Amino acid sequence: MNLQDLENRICLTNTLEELEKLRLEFLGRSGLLTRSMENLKNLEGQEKIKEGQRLNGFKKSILGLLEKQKAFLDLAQEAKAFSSSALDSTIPISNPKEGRLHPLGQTIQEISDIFASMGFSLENGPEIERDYYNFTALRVPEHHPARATQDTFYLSESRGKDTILLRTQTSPGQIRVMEKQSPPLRVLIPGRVYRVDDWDATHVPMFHQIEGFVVDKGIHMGHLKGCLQEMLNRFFNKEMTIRFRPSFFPFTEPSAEVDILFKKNGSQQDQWLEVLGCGMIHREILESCRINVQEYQGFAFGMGVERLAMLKYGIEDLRHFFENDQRWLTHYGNAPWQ
Amino acid sequence: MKITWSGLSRHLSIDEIGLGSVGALDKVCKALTDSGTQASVVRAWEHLALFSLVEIRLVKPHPQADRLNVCHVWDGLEERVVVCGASNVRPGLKTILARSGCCIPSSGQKIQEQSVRGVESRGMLCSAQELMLSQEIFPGDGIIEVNQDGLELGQSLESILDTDPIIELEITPNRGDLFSVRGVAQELAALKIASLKPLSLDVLTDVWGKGKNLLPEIGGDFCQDAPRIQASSLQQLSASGRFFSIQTPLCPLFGVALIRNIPCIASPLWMRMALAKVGMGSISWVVDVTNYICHELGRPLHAFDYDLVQGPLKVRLSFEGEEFESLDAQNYRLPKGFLVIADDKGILALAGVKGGKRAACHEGTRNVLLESAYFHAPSIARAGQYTHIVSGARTRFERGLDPCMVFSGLQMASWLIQNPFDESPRGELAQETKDGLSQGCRKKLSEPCPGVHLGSDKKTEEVQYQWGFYSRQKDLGAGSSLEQLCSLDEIDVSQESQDFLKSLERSIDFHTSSVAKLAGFSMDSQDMEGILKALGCQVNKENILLSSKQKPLKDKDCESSSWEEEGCFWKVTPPSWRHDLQYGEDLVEEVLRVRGYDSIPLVSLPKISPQDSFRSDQGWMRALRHFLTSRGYYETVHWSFIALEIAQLFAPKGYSFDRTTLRNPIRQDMAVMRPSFLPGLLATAKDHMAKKIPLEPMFEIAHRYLGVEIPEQPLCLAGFVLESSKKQAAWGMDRPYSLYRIKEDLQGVLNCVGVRRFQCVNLQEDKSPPWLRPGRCGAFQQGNKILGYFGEIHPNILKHFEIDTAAWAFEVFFENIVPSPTQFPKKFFQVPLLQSVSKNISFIMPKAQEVGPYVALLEKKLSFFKRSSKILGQETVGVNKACPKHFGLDCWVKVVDIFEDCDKIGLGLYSITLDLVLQPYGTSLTHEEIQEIMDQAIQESRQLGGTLRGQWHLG
Repeated sequence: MNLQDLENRICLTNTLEELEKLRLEFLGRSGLLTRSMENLKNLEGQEKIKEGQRLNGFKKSILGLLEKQKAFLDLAQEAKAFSSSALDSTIPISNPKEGRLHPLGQTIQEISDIFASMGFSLENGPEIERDYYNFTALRVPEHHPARATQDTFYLSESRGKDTILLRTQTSPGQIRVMEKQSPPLRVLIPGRVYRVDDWDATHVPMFHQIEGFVVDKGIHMGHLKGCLQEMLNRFFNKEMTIRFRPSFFPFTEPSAEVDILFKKNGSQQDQWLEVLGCGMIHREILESCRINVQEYQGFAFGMGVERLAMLKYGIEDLRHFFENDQRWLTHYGNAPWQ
Repeated sequence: MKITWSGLSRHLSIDEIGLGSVGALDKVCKALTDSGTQASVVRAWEHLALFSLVEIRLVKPHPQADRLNVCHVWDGLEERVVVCGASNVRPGLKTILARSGCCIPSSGQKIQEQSVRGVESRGMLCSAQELMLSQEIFPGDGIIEVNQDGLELGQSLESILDTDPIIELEITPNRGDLFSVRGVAQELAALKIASLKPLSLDVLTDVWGKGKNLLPEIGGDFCQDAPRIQASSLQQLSASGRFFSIQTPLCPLFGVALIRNIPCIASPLWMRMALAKVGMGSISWVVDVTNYICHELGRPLHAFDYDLVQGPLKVRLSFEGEEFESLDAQNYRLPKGFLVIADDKGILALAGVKGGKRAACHEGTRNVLLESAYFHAPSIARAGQYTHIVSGARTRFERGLDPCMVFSGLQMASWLIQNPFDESPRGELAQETKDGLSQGCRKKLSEPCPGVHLGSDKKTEEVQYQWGFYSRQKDLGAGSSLEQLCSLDEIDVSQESQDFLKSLERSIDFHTSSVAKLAGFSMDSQDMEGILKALGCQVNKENILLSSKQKPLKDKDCESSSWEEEGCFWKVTPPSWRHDLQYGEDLVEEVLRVRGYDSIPLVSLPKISPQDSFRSDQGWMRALRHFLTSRGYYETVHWSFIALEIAQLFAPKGYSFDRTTLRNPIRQDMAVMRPSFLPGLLATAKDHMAKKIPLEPMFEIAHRYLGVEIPEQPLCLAGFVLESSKKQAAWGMDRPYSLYRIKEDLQGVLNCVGVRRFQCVNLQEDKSPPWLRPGRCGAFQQGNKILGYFGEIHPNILKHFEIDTAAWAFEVFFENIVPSPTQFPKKFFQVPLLQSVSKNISFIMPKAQEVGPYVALLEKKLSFFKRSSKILGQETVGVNKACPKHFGLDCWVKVVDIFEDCDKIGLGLYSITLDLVLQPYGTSLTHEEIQEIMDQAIQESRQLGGTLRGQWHLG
């Protein structure tokens, strides 16, 4: 028997059992090689040594071949086991069951994060507010035409002459913070606001605003511009073209409205869209909060959260924010990992 | 407010921007927008852009129809055949063609090329009615006849009609002065867009571009450049006399003009057109003039029929409960103290707001008493807000008017009433219509004939004027004293008039450095002066150099302190029409807005360390929102107001919502501030079920309202889960929901906000909120403070919302939560080097024993297990000697199984299997120690009425 034949026979085995059979045939107790080895004792001297070496080499080769074939068959068997226990990974399952963050909550969060990184701290103001904070302290006296532009919900209660209302803006928070804290101040106040408006695609009786203000030494409109430009760039994640337009708010002087050049969903052209109002805090307001106007100046801004969310997300109808349709939320809301 | 291009052009030397040149209009709009008044062009005729001017070249009778003609029309490029039924078709006529694709405004019909009785017609010739254009624009019943010169064939109808574009302005509440054409022109002049023409009758009536010299010169006392009213000159005016008396300081200035034998006519076309273009209808000549003056000059006037006025006018305050019937026959019962104009019989007009029905001008009015006044703006606003009357006069008065226009406006209106410039005297018109051409009217537009009075052969008499200024000494005319009329205890009368005088001549301290200080860039002081003067301010330069004392404090670290350079003080007197200018900052805004906000540089805020937004409650909110959405919850936003009957379902019996009810809700189902978010969440669930949309869990974080004070508006979180709808869940994804899943969610929320120690209790029926199902709900609390509720929703509530499956919810009350943020450095922790031991043990416990407290007790007791003292002598493994506890043992008790079975265990009992996990430190637990611990567990359980079930064994 020569080695070549042996190798062929080993390689042709298909199962571990067949291989074991062969091993026994060669190396078993009555195997070919075993018997040949036994014959050695009949030999003498050089011949015995030579034959012994030959047989040992032969044995080594066989063992090597057997091991190689065994590894090969082991792999084959494993593959067979895998294939017989295979599962179909294409069976559709429903998406991972994570919920959605509401676009409004998300927008407030993103804007808060941007301002937090600029050193603003977050504050809260009450939604059921006093007339004093919502209007009078903001330089809108009782019979001022500016009140007519913000139709107000009133509650039945009052505190003396001070009526109680649902805040029409987040600006009263400014007064409340300045009454308690002294400058330097960098504060952000997000929250719900209310105006008497029936609802349609562009009007709702409840919406969200973010009020922010800075009071410090040497703060001027250049800072206001820089601060808002940075916020808008980061919120929309691109370099935005913005325009400051003179405007009027009773509580700021000078006042401005900020427009961005923006391509709306489905629109061919960029257009100027108003996104927020701002200005330098009126000296009367600083003075009434006992802030030294010789030393400190400040700016304030207020932005509509829905407006910014609509632009960023491409939402057309304001009402959807409050309908909570989960099909809509699945599409427009963010997953927690987003 | 709307103004016309032609109106604006009359007040400006418009050649400077080139009237008609492309872009002039855009330039004006941009200048206004950039300076703070948003202006846009109204494209009133946009829908007629596709209609075009054609000339009829040939008219032939239709071969098949008697009444139709076949017209060949030429549009400058091609000839086309159009079938037309109008009788006025004739060669040479220029008219309007609707091509295919045009939409006819009156019918909505879309024009198509089609065959009309065998003749192919390519379009339609239109009549004025079909295009919904008034007879004033194109008279006649047939197809439109265009007689204007200078038009090109093929030109769109929009461009023909749009010769006088309309500009719409959004005027901010501080700029009452812009509520007039004159005001806008004045603004444009200040912006250096064009120069302002002096105010004259010419400017007002030069509607058709005629020459200046047609008008007679009117007495020189018109406010040519709005001369300042001097306090001294006002004092000389008499306050009472023949026509009126002023009895309240809230009317510092008042004037009337009596015009006798006024021309009794309908307003001429020019007036009707001028008003119609800006959205006002024609009422009568006199009323139209007052409206026109109001629109042109911003000067509200009111005309009374003098023959119906009983006695002299009185400007006074209303008495309590006084009645007033307005022009439009609305009745008002006024409270005390509103400004009114009255006569001996009662109120004639609610001053500055609306005229009354009595003594109103009507068609037969011959003698007019025209009134012009300066009223106290907040009083007008108060009356307007009380009566909800919206009028042009109110809009202007409450924003503040130019006192210098009180008399010149009155004079101009008086003159105009006498001189209507009727361009179509009836005789002439009749002559022209005889020719069958109705173009006479149009022709006349360019050739007005001034001074023709119709309806009266008599020349109108000289106008009688009376002007008055409120003064306490002189006003008590007409036999009644101020005190008698109305008690004015709240108003310091003399103070009021002094304030008024002061307000006319107030000056503002202005420091030139304040521009740089507020805007962040420095500006040449000459430029500032130029701008302020162009706006009508008087600038008195005192040139006082700042002494070092007056200098604003300098901050050494402040980089931008360079603008604190030397500047000078000016005394600036604002023009009489700018009541909004009060402070130096107001002047800075003026300078900046004229210069353009583009000049303001972009400067980054000085860097300070960023805030950690996690520190505030909004910070936890982020953690919560991410935790809940990761667990499958959808974030929602519901209205803060709900219906009262719904709110009551969620409040304890007898709870009153009086304090949180809106006085003016938009709908009754949005009348009460919500005490809980559950109503909103349930309504959304109902909505989804009705639409057969599977509902995933959802939550809301917001404020709820228990009262009106700040602590009564706490932050709250509510979560809601609906048992998965009966539709089969996706393959392999079905998991049942239960009370314990909602408990898990709530516990996770509490962990999220850093609450580690709390007890869970079963809620007794009398203590649980009414929306929870008794016996299936619990609360987490710290001491006696409720951190949150959880449980199954009450079946009655579900029924109310038409939900027919089970639902669960939790509520978290942040007002009771004291978060314990992670402390750094953290406490020392030794990773256990020894293996823990787990033993299972079962007990039968009485049902009265709640599992929570039992397990908590066991865990606590076993953790205090004292290991025998001999251990301390032995060599210990991995022990931190500084931490004596770690010679001992940690113990956790976990519930493996609970069941009840009447037959096997007995009534009123339950079986509980616990897994005791023992983590030793120092040395491994010996068999004896384990025995001791298990004995203690058995001992503790026995004390609570439990019995060991079987043997304990290794878990």
